[in-house]
Amino acid sequence: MVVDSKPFKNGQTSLAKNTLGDLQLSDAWIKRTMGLLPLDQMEVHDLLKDALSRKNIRKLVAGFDDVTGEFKVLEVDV
Amino acid sequence: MNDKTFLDGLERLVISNRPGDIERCESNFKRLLSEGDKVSGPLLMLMDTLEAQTLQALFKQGDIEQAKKSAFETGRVLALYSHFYPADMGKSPDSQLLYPLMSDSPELIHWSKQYFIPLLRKSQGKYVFDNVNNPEFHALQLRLALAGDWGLLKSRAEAFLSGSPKKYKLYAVDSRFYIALCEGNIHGMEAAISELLSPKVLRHRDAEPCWGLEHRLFSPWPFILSKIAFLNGYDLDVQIPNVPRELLKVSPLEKYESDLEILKDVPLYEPFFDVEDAPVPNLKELSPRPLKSPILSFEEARNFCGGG
Repeated sequence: MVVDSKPFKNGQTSLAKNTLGDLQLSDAWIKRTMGLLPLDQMEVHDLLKDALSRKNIRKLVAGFDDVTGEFKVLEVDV
Repeated sequence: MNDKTFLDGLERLVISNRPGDIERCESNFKRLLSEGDKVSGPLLMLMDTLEAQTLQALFKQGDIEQAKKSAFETGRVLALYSHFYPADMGKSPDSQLLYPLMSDSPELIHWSKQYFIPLLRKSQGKYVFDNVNNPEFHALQLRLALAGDWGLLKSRAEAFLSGSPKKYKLYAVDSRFYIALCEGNIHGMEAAISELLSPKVLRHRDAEPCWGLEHRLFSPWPFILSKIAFLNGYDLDVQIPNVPRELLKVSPLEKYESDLEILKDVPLYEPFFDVEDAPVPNLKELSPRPLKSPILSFEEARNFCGGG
């Protein structure tokens, strides 16, 4: 499971492309993030590599809603 | 980079190249494909392994031939990825050229310099390749330099130097390199590479998030620009730390082969299919053309997208 934190507004949020052109939470974005993990977090790398390779991964966006004040969690498919 | 950083870089490669990684990725790719599911995950993870193999061959074993072979496979998997996701890169559009250039494969380099599709999307009605804030701007410069499209390359480099925001001052050296390349000015190219290798510039450019496995081992940008100069026939007198000079020289392998089964079904120059909801129109027309055909120029590619 990969979770990205983002603010919500009336139950809605959006994913953006980063400066390198990857959509947040896309497989390419996750691969790039894996490349930047510090050496003492390589077990995270192994877990992500296995999950991405098997397409056995859940992608979630979570954050507080600025309007309602509720904590929201949304599953995305990118 | 110091010895500790370099050794950490080698240690990092082992993590990305575990025994059985390739077989697992190939098997998962075939299964997901047969189920009609998304295949981006196994292809990207296969790339991760092949990138690590390339760098291990180069920096641990000192085996340039094996490094070129693995770099070729990395580039071929990226090309395969593009057939499933033509407007996506799987890698940032500028850093994407590193492994094709390392491979020295004429066919793969020829394909890569015509693969404009991810650069041709629009944002708020404007092409992303025209905006210096986007990696697509720089990605197009690299392709124009490889294709020898001097007029457009030079005018864009001059525009960057005269109009880019101050925050991009560490990228101005690239434009100075391109102008020197367009003018055939070897000393200008060497001066630009030397500036790119200065600690002040490298500290920033090596730390770009596109360089995950690479940045502890060598500086990719000086290699990429120098290699482009060599491919254009300029024998630069440059020394890039940890990069053997043989890798800069243009010396393709006699034969490029791969044992990867998943590459066998999709030839490198297989045309793209047009799909209705693609962010870029006319994908078939935008397919890179084989070595013996006239190259797809950027101007043609832009016209296939409706000009503008």
